[in-house]
Amino acid sequence: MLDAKEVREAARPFARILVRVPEAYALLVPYEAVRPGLLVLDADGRRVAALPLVEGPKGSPDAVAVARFLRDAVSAPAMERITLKVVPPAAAGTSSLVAALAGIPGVEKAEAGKDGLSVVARAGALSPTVVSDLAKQAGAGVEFVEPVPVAFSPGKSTDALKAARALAGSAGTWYASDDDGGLRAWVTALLLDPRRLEEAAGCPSDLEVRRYDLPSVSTGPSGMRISPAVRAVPGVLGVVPSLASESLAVIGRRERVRWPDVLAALQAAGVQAREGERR
Amino acid sequence: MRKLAVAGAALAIVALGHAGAAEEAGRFTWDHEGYARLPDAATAARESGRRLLLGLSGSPT
Repeated sequence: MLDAKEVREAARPFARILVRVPEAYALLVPYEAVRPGLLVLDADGRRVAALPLVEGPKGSPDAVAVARFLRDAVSAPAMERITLKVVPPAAAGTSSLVAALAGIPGVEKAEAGKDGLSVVARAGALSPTVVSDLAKQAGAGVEFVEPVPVAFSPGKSTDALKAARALAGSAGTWYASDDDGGLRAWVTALLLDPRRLEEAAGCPSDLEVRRYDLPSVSTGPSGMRISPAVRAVPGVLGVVPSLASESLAVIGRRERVRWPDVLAALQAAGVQAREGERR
Repeated sequence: MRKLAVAGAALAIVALGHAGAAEEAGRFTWDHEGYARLPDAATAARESGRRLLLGLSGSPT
């Protein structure tokens, strides 16, 4: 069906990426996608649309329906999906914050769940500063979970304003700023790439990457358990499995993540891991 | 008969040379493969003003 002429033509305006299991597991729940299926994101990782290619009550989509989905996805609005952790949990101001966020034009959904606050908004409707200010007014402390806040340490020769502009222009960055809080960027976890961010900023960040060799990662049900198990380790921000190299890159907050806990989490998930390259 | 088949294949090759091999072959093509390549693909997409189309495979291989 993907080989149909109308589908190939409709797919031409996109950068097309094939993601196989178990790598695809990390995309399913957070992006409300299914496999087999198609998922469209903008270049900063904001979700645009998803289409299941499985047999449903109305049958599976035909080539015409897939082509229509792709044509619509070229210009459909990209939605930011912000996840906030409330500190302390269940703080008194949480419901006021949810109401304040829901009242902002462009915000389609704001709700409190057991893991924190989840907000869906049109790209550009909210900035981290606005969210933090609203939280302060509501009397609730919040930490960003998604997009991931990244802090940089500019050197004496760093032009912080220029660095913030370069960060804002790199793929995956939703916002970047150089204010009283220092040089910071908010980046979608899916596209977190410390090396690229540090190159753009021209200075080090508070991120660290460690690679784990997982000879058994490519097959079996353990693939589905790996990402959630590692993400649950405090300080871990991103997990990037690579089917091609049978490895897992774990991105963590330099001062916060305890790397032996990552190894233990992998072992608890039933995979034999070996620590590889450090960076 | 065999000569005709060879001539047919030669014509097909000429046709492929005229308009993108993958397009002429009628195959849907992927520019990148793998979750680990997503930051690279996103950078390429951003630089060319495109969006990302992810095919989430249902096959374990």
